[in-house]
Amino acid sequence: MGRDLTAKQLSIFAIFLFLPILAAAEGVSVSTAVPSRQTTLILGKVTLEPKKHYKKYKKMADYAASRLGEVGIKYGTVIFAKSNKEMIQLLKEGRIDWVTDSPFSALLFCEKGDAEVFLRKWKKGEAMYRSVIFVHKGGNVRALKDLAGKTFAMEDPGSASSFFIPLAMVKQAGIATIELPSFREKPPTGTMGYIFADDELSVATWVFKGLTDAGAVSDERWRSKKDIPLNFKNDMEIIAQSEEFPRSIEVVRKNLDPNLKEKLKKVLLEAHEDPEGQEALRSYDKTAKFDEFTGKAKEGLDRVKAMMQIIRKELE
Amino acid sequence: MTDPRPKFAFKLSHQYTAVIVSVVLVVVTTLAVTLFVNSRKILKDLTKSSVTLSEKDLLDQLKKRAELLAGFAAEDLITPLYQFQMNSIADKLKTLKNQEDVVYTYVYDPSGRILHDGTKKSALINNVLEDGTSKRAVASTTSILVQISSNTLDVAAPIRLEDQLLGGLRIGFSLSGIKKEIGTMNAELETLGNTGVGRSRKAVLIITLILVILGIMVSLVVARGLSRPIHLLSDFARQLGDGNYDVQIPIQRQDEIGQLVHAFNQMTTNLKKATAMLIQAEKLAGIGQMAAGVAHEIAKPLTAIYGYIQIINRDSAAPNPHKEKLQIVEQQCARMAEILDNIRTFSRQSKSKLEPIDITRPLKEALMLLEPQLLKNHVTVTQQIDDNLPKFTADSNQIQQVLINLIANATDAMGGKAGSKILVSARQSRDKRYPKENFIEIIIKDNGPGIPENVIGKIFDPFFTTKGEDKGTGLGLSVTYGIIKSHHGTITASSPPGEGAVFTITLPITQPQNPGTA
Repeated sequence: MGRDLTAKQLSIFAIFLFLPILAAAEGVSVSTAVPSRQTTLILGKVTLEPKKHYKKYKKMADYAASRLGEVGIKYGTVIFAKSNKEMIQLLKEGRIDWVTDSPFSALLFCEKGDAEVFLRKWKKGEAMYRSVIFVHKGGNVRALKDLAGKTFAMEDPGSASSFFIPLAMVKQAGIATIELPSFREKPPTGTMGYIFADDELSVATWVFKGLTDAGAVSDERWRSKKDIPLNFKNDMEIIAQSEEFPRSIEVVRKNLDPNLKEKLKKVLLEAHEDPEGQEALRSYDKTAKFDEFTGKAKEGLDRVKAMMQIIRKELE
Repeated sequence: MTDPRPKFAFKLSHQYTAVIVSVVLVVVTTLAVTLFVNSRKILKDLTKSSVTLSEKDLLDQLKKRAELLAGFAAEDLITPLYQFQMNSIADKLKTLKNQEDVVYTYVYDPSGRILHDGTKKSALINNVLEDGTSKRAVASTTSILVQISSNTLDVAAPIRLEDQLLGGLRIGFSLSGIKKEIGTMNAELETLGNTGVGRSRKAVLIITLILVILGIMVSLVVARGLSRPIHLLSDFARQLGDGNYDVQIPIQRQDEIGQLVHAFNQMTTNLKKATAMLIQAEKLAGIGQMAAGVAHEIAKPLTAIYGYIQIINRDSAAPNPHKEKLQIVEQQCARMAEILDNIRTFSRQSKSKLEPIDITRPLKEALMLLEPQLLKNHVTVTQQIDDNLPKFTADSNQIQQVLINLIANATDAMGGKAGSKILVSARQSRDKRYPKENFIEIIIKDNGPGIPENVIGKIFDPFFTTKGEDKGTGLGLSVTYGIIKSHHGTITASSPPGEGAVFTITLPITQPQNPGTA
């Protein structure tokens, strides 16, 4: 009797195990558990740490999807790309609907990935920000022009405030730049060598420790004790700061359904007024709200576009 | 006459019980108190040792864990420190800080300046800690250093890329967990200990009570066992005091009490014998004195009568019709003279001729004189005379007479039956009452019918005889008694059932200066 029961149980288990596999092979929709592309809103993000971002971004995607039922959206999901290039490809293929990124990357997606600027994101509560270039007080760099032949700590190749903008500023000052593999390397004479430190604290530490002659972070990070410890800051000084730039930009696929696009914009613009929306915004990089590119925002966006011409090589 | 015994006194058993119980109480109480005091002390020591050992063990474990963790983390930090990837360093320190008991983490450069303190605020970055622990940690550039303070275990591991010192890692482990654990253990041990002591106390109390009860019971039994024979002895002594010499204490024990009872019983037997002998002696002395007086008064007229009748019978040549009668008178006079002689001997009126003699001589002569009678009555006499028997001071003729009387009596008593036997033995002996004196013990034993119990107390009385008037005068044993007494000896008769009669004579080897002439 015991053997019969075991055999029965095994049979049932086998049926449940193989049924989804067979169904997938035949292209049969087994249940509503598999969302279709048409009913899914896909949010994209370039990152090397998908685990770190998934939950936060998924919450935002789910919130938006939950408000888009009338345009056929039932699900929200997130896809991460390793690089801007991959993201451009995904946008082109229509596999991503909506992307959030820094201004330069966002505009690059618009240029190369058939996307369009959608809304300004008040990331971490900030609508606009600047890039500040700082040096050790004991060093011999006091202005941008002094950076020739010096080393410069940048955060990472995708950072606006800690790479694109300061690099553009240096270039605008007439100094050639070159990427160095390590702070132990020295740039050619008359050229500024930049090295990626991976994070703001490393940038500050390198400058403070004299590993590099200068570094750049956003004004928001400069004010953060976590990124720039007070002990460091007291011995460092800002030698230049950029104009204001939009903190973060949301872009969407150009060929996204207009109804969906319109409805999504409305949902995002009103999210900060909705308790559920507020929760999703908090999870979404502590965003305060979304707004349209008008006024200063529009000016800042234009500055980004102008600056892109200077750093196109590095941007691509 | 007033009873000398106290009106009120604790019984011996009660005294004994009280002593035993007191001893048990003192011993058990002492043991219990000692046990309490020691157990509490031992428990405290044990708890302290356990806690110390556990604390050391836990500290060792933490130390090992700290060393391992610091070692691995230092290895892991080589690359980020070499490249000054501060976020990576921060992440690693954060991971370390998530470890149990870790309260701080620092990465510092070779000069001891903090590169990251593992906190979001980074308040300690760029600080150089000046305390001794920190200085020693920074100075330890080649090996892991563990330092223990009152609340923290600080482990410092150098971070090296081969021979290049990049800096170091410090991890602080809180000891509060261990202390808390030790505190909990201490409390638990104390609770356990208190419970244990409580239980022990109850157990000791119960055991004490049981021991006391057992002690009382055992002491009562023992006291009863001890006091019962004493009670019996007391009763026995009282009866003995009342002149009842027939009492015997019915106790069969092998211990000291048994020996005491045996001694008492023996003493009773001896006392009975001695008393009987004393009575006998007094009786015989009285009879002897009276007989001596009578003999003295009769002797003179008898001498005259006996002399004249002898003359008449010798001198009368003419036929006399009364001659035959006169000869009978002469014979009876002779007999009367002999009786008077015997009475004098019995009453010790006759002189003894004392000299060192060998028993074999009077015995040999006695047997020779009795030989016809012995042969006639089919009596076999066996002698058991010790070879080394010394000579003793006595009147040889009187001793011979004693032997003749006793052997002749025995022969008569056996009545001529075949297989009649008389054993005459002599040996040297000692009397416990006179340890310095040596004695000759002579025993005449026959296998005749023995002496009836109602007769044995009278056999030494003068004129007492069981043979009939025509066969004896009843003076033989009285004379024997008188002779032995005159030699400061003793003679006793006994008749063990089925063994015939036994006469035991004891004579001192050396006579006192003034031997008895009564």
